[in-house]
Amino acid sequence: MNNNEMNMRQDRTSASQPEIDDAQWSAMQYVLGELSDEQTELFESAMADDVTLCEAVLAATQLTCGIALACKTQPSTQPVIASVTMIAAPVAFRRPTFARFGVFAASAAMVLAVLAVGTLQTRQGGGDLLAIEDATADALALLLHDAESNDMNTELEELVASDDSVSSLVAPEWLLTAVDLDAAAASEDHPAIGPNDEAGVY
Amino acid sequence: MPNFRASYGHTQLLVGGNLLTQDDENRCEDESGLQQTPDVMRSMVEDSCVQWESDLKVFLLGVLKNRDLAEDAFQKMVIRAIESAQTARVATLRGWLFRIALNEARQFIREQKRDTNHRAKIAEQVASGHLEGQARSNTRWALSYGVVNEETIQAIQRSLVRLPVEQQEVIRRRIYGDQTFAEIAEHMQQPLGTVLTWMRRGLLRLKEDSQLRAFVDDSYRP
Repeated sequence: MNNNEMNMRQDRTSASQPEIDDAQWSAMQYVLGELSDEQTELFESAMADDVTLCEAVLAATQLTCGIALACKTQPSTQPVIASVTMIAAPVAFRRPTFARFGVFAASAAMVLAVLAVGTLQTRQGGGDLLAIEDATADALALLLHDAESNDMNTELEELVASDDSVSSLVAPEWLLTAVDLDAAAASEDHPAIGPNDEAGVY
Repeated sequence: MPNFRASYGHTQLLVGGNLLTQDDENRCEDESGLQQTPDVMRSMVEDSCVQWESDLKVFLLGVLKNRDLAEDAFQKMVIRAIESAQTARVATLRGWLFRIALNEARQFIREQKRDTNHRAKIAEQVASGHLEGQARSNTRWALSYGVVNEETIQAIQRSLVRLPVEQQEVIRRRIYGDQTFAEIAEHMQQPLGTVLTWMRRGLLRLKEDSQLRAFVDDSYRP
């Protein structure tokens, strides 16, 4: 065989690559019984003229048997697809955990915001302190209900318990003293001291 | 067991200690230049039938879809091949045997079609689910002939899990679950063409898988 003949053969081989794939697919359909009677007859006639189709049928039969046995002898009773799902499962299960953490973080941020607003209102208005504390306790209790951590549950339960106790309703002495001083300043018996009055102290 | 050696313009075949040379015009001669006797040719065909027995039986299984019929067809094929040994050519011996096997298988199919009783029997088998069990036993039969060994099965398992999930599901349902493509399409709520494409791509990727390539290449022995 000279070089020209070899090149021509190689060209034919490369040009007929899709046909080879088609032949293998037809062979697989033939083995699986997917062809109609007429198509089957045509394919068998083609096999008689082309041995490569016989080889394709042999390969398709081997592959079919191999796949059937591979599915049958899967180590677990679960199918192949279930195994794949299990392999991918760790990735899938991380998302809900992360999402729950996100919800917890958002709840904590919301509680802190409520606390900050409550504190500001206390400084500005000076009243309704107990109501705000109750609201804070309620918010913390709500947060506790969603939290997963047992440690945090315990700590927050103690906090709620202390807030709900009767002792929390009794104002401490330092608070009463501060209120008395404010009241005295307001009655003009003792003039209020502003920041400018303390300029020479230091 | 025949051994082949190719030389320029000739094919050499070692049968029973005799080195045979076949030229391009299919003249078969031994080292002394004498054309071979029918006995030598028959011996060559017999040896080839033994060498390619598993391949021929699996091919017949693919055509007949029944291991008992494949066994019977193989026996008839061997007899027919030995009877026609003088017309064999060394270079095309494997293809020649496959053609004889195909002719025998088609003869079996024609006889089955003529046999109305057999059709009724098949219908009963389908109704009782016997054919499904038969398909499973066909695969076990192929395993017993060493067509697919444990190593190959494990390689297929590893290759299967590397496929996209939808391709795995279609292949598994069609080949292991014995569902039709129409049933698979309905179950997966996909068009039939999509299911067929998944099947085709999946099988193609399995064949191109590096771990399975050796197994597939082995099936294309000359």
